[in-house]
Amino acid sequence: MVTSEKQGLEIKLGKKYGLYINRLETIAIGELLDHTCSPLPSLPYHAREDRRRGHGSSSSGLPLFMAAAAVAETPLSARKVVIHLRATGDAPILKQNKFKVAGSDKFVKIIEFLRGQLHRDTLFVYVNSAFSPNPDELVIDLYNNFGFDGKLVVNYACSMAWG
Amino acid sequence: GGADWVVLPRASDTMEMCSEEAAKYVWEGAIPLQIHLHESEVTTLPAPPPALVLGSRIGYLPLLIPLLKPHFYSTLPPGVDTVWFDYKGLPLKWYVPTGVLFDLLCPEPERPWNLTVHFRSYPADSLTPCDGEENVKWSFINSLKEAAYIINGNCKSIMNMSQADQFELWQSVLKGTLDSYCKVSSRLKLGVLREDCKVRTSLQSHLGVNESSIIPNQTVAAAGRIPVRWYIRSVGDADDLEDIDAIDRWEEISYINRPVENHVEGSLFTLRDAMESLLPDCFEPPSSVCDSKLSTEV
Repeated sequence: MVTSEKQGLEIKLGKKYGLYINRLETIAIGELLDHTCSPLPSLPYHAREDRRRGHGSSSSGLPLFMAAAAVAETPLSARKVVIHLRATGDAPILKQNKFKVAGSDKFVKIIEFLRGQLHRDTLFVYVNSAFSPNPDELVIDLYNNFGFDGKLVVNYACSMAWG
Repeated sequence: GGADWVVLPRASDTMEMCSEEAAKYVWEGAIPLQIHLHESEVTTLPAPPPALVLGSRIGYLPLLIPLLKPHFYSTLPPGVDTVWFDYKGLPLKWYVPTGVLFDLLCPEPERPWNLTVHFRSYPADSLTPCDGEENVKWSFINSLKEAAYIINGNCKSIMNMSQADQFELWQSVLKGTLDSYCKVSSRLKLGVLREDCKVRTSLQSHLGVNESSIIPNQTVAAAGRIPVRWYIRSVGDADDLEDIDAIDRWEEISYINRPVENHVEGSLFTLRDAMESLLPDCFEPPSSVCDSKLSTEV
């Protein structure tokens, strides 16, 4: 039972990766950053601050183990996040290494973008030279948890770089 | 501890527990599963009977493959195995712990939980590939790294883990042995709680209650960020959980990685506190309707 307010957060995963890559490439070209670009709003983010909806009947009295919907509607998740791509090891360096992605996108979008750019099926993608996020994780969550200097650093390698 | 997700007890199990008890409760928890072979893969008559297995709450479905393969092997069509599971047509994400899948997807009163196993036709368009245990382990270690990063600002303790410790840690997940897990994880500097402290996992039934007066001298969480992974399913206006529809798309579930801040050193910090900060709308207004539902259905 998805309310219409939440549609904005939803990413249709699946057969349409090609389509996403196209969209992402459009974003990459259309919103390529340079260093004069203004930084994103500062962190940390607090869930309570961007609560703006009233208490609809659908959000009260929900059983918590299947908890509720409120958070999915946060406007901040629609914010754009600056991704900084860094090649690791012998991976080719991309000409455009910075671009913006919607915070409501999932990490898989970045993975698929890199796969398309590098024409490789097997690719190891990391955040902060440290770990490989789950493909389902929201870009905005990754940015809030692991971003710094107004961007999220994503490393990519053709072989396992950090085990 | 190092686990970065929350597996809540089922409705009937509302009780107050300290961290050790709660961890034990979750680690020893198992889901009775009745696993059917998908009809398209049945090549014998009669079809093989379903397999009855216990899936550890903290375990992952692919870890059951060694048990399931022998059961179904004689009936499979020729081809290469690519094992995956579905529930009522929804492909199950293999990297989500079995207990979380169960809490999210299995309606009351379905027991055992009826899953379908497939050995062919992996839905590569909707599931990340999984070749077996190594992938699950890799996913687990990555989650651990993320949790460490949130707590410490880096994940050196995980990256520098000795081979022996890594082996023992993973074996403890495979076997569900909490003691050996604690032994290794205590070396990983993942403590968001002080040594002597305990976390109560129950949710209080009244918002206005001063919780520290209920359980004195028990929970003293250290101030800091607690990594939590939330799986959130909206059930709309349904009064009865038996009435809610089965989920047919993962997009209906919000997946949120957002740590919880505990600002006050030594305070009593409950799971309810964590959920209130993330999902304030669920807890307001402080009406009796909201409260009684929370207390009875959690």
